[in-house]
Amino acid sequence: MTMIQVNFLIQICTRQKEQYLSLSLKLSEGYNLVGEPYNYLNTPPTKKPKISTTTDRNGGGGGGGGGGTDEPDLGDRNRTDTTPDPFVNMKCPNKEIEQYALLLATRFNHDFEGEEQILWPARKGDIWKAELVDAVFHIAMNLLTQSFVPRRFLLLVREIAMYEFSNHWKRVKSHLPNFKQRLVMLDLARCDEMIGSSPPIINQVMHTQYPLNRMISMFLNVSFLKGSSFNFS
Amino acid sequence: MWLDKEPKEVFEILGYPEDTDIVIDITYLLMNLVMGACHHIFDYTTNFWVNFGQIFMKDILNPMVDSW
Repeated sequence: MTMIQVNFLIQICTRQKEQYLSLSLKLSEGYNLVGEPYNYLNTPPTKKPKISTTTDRNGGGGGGGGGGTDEPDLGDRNRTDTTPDPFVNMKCPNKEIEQYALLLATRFNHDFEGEEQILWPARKGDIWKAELVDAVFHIAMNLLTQSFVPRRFLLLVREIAMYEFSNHWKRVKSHLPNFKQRLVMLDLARCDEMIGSSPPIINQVMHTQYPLNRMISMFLNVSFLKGSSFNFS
Repeated sequence: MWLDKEPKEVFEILGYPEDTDIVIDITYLLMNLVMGACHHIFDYTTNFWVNFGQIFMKDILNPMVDSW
C-alpha cells in the first residue's frame, strides 16, 4: 500500500455520511471505484434482451398499455444519468486498490464505525499475532483523538493490515505463543482495559507523548489540512 | 478535499519513498506510541514494555519487511 492509496482512503473517510453510504451502495451493486461495472467473479457481461415492438403492432389494447409503460422508464434513466454523483468523477489513483474494494465493501456494508474487526486468520497459531496487532490499533484509537487521526481511517488501516499480514502468515509455519509472548498479550489486554475505562489517563499520556503524536499527525494529516470537516484544537 | 499538489510533490515534502509499504510504518509508529502509553499507565514500575517492542518487531514486523 503506497502513500497515494492512503491519501485516497483518507479522502473517502473524511467525506460526509451520505456520500460514503452512496459509495457503499455502488460497491454492493458491483461498481468499481472508477465508475465502470466491476466483475468480482470475472464473468462475461450479459446483454439484456431488447424489447420487441411486434406486440404493439399485432395486439390492440394490451400492446398499447405495454408501450405506455416503456416510455417513462427511459425518462427515469435519463434523469438518473444527469444527476451529479460525487464518486463518478473520482478517479482511482492506482489499480492495486481494487484489491481492497471488496474489503472496503464488507466494511461499509457492515457497521462502518463498529470497533470490532471483521477479518481474522483461520489457523489457530496465527490468532495471537492478530490479537497483538488488534490490541495495538485499539489502544491507539482510544489514545489518538479525532482531530489528530480520524477513527475511520485507523479502522480501515487495521482491516488492510490484517488482510496483508494474514496473507503472509499463510505461507509461514504457525505456532502457539511462548510464555513471554503470552505475558505480553495479557499485559496488552490489561492496558487496553485501563485506557478504555479511565479517560483522564488519556490526557496525561497525550501530554507526555506529544512529540510522537505530532509526528503521527504530520505523517497522516497532510491530505486534509484544508478540509473543513476537521477542527484542529 | 483533493490535493492541489501532485503526489510526487507530497513525497518530496515528506521525504518519503514511494516503494515502501505504509501499513507497516503506521503499525510501527502506533506500536511505539502504545509502548510509551502503557509504560506510563503502569507507573514505570516494570521494565517489561521493552520486551513488548522486541517481540512485536521480531515476530510480526520484521518478517513482513523481509517478505517485500
